[in-house]
Amino acid sequence: MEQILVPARDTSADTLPFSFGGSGREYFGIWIVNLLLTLVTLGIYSAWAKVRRLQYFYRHTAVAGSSFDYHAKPWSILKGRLIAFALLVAYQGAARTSPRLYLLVLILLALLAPLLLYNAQRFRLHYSSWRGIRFGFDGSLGRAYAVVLGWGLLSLVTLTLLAPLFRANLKRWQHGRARLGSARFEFDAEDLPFFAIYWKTLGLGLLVLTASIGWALVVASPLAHLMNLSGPRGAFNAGVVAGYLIFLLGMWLLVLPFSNARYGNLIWSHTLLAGRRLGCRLSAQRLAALYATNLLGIVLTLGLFTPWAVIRVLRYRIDCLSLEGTGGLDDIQALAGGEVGALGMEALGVFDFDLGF
Amino acid sequence: MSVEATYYDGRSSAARTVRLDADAQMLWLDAEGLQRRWPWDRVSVSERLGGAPRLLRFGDGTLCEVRDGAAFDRLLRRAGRREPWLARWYANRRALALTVAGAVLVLTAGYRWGLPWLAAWLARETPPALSAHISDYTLRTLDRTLLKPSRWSQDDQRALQARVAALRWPDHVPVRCRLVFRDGGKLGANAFALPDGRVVLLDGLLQVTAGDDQRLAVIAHELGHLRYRHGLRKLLQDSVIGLFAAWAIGDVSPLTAAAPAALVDARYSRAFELQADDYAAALLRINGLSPLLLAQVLQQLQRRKAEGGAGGGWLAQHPATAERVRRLGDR
Repeated sequence: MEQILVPARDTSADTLPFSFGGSGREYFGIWIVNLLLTLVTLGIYSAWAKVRRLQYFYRHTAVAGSSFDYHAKPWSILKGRLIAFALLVAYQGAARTSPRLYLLVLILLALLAPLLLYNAQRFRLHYSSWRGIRFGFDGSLGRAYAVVLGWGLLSLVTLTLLAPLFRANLKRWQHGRARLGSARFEFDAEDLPFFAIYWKTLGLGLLVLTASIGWALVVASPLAHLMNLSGPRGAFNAGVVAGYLIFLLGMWLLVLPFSNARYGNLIWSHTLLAGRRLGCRLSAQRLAALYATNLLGIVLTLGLFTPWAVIRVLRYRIDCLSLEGTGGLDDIQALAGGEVGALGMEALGVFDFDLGF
Repeated sequence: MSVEATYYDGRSSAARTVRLDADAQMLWLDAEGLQRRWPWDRVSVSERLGGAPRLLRFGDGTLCEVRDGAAFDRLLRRAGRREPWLARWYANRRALALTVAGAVLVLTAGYRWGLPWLAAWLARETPPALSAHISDYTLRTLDRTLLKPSRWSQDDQRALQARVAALRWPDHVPVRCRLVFRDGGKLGANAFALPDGRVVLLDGLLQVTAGDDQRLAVIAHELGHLRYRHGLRKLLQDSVIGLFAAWAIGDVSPLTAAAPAALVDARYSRAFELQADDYAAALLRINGLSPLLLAQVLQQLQRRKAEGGAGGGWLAQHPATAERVRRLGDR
C-alpha cells in the first residue's frame, strides 16, 4: 500500500536557519576518549575517532527540523590513512636518496593530487546524508586535472597573483557539481570578488609584516638590555624572536579571521540548492575574538580547552548559515550509488592539501 | 509510552511524524495510514552522542529520526536494549575523569620509558652512513664557528692515536675510534665523542692532563659513551620531534640540526655517565692502567675550577664528581 507522505515540517518559510546543538562539555568526553585510544593503539584508532567526531558534528547540525548524518566506514578511512602514510615515507625516502628521484616523486604526487582531491570529494559527500538522502558529487576527474594542474600551475607561475582564479574555479567545481540526492547544487560567484578579498588579505598581511618588523626594531634594544645580552648579535636575535611572535599573532588574529570570514561568506552565499540560496554572514571581528579567546584558553589549560574551542567556532559558523528563499525541500529524490574508496580523503589530510568542502 | 519520531522513506525528503514503541522482540511504528514493525535485528540504532537526535535505520531502507533522547532512552531500557559500552563511556563523568588521568599517564609513561627505549632501538638500527653524516655536519659547524686547528705537535698526536689503536677491549667488542685534535678556545678543557667514532680532544684538556695515561683515561670515558651510543640516544630522546620524524617518516633533518648543540654540551643522564665511567674503568684495567687515573683527572679539573680557573666543559658536563671519584676508587 502506497502511503501519502504529508510534510511534517513547514519548510515554506523565507529563511531557514541552520542550528548546532552540540556543547563543549559533551564533546570533551568524545575528544578525550578518542585521544587516549588513539595514543594506546599508536594511531590505528584514529580512523574510528574521526568517524565519531564527524558524527557528533553532523548529527548536532540541523536545518528545516532535520539533522545531517555521516556514515563512512572506519576501515576504509584506516586503509586510506595507511596508504597515505606509505606515500609520505616514499616521499621522504626519495628526498634523501637522490635529487632526481625526489623530483620524480614530486611530479608523480602533483599528477596524483587531482585524483586524490576528486576521490576525497566523492567520498565525503557520498557518506553524508540529510533526511535519509545521500549527498553526491558529479564533478569529473578531467575537470579536477584542469583546475589543479591548469589554474593551480598558473597561480604558481604568476607567484600567486592569479591564485584567486584557482580558488574560484576550484570552488566552482566543488560546489557546482555537488548534489543532494537528485537535486543539484549551483555556484554562481564571479571571479572579481575573489580578487578583491585576495588583495585585501594581502594588504592586511603586509600591515602585519611591517608592524612586526617595526616592533622588532623598537623592542630589540631595550629587550636585549633587559636580558643582559651582549653585543649587537644578542640584540638582533631578541628582535627577531619578538618580531616573529608578533607576526604569528597578527596572522592568526587578524589576517586569518578576515580571510576565513570573507571567503566563507562569498563562497556559501553563492551556493544554491533546490531553488534556495545559502546565506552566510560571518563577521571577521567575531571570528577574531573567538580565535583569540580560544588561543588563550588552550595555552592556559595545556590543551584541555581544545574541544570547547572547536565547538565554539563550529557553532558560530553554523549559526551564521541559513537557507533563503522559497522552494521545496520536501521533494528531493534520492539517487542510487556505489561505494567510494577512502584513499583520496585521507591522503589529502596527511599531505596538508586543505581544500575542504 | 510511545515516542514521537520523524519518518523518512529513504527515497524522498518528505517527512512524516510517527510514534514509536517497542518491546524485547520488536520495534513498531504507528501513524495515520502507516504501520510498520521490525524485529530488533533489522533495526540499526545510532549510538547516543550527547544530545544529538537518534537515527534508526531499518532493513527496508527507511529511517526514523528521534529528537527526544531521554524518552527514547527509556524506550530502549524497557525493551531491554543496552547502549554499546563505548557510548556509555564518554557520557560517564567518572569514566571521563579516569580517561583524563589515563591519557596523562600514557603520555608521561611514554615520555619516561617509551621514548628512551625507542631512542635506544633506533640508535642501534642507525646506519653508519647516517652517523657519519651527523658527525660530519657537527664537526663542520664547530670548525666554522668555535674551533681552530690544534696547537699540539703532530708527533704527540700520532703517539696518542697509536696508543688508542693498540687498546684491548673489555667485552671483546671493538669500538671504532679516531682522535681529532682542535684548539677549543673558549670551550676550554673539553672532550666529546661524535656518533661515527671520532673523539674530539681540545687543547685545553690536553694541557690540564699530565701524561698520555691520564689522557687515555679521558678517552676511555668517551669510548664508554660511544660503546653504548649515548650520543645518538640522547639526540633522539631530547628531540621528541626529531625522534618521531626519524621513526615514523624517516626524516632526520631535525636531528642533524640539533646535533652540534646536543653533542658538544652533552649533559648526559646520571645513568649514562656512570655507565661510561664503569666502561672506562674496565677498559683501563684490561690495558694495564689504573681506573684512578680518571679520578685524578676529575679532581685536577675540580681543583682548577675551585681556584677560579676555567674548569672547562668536560667537568661541567659531569656532575657529582665526588661520587664518581669514589666509585672509580672502588673499581
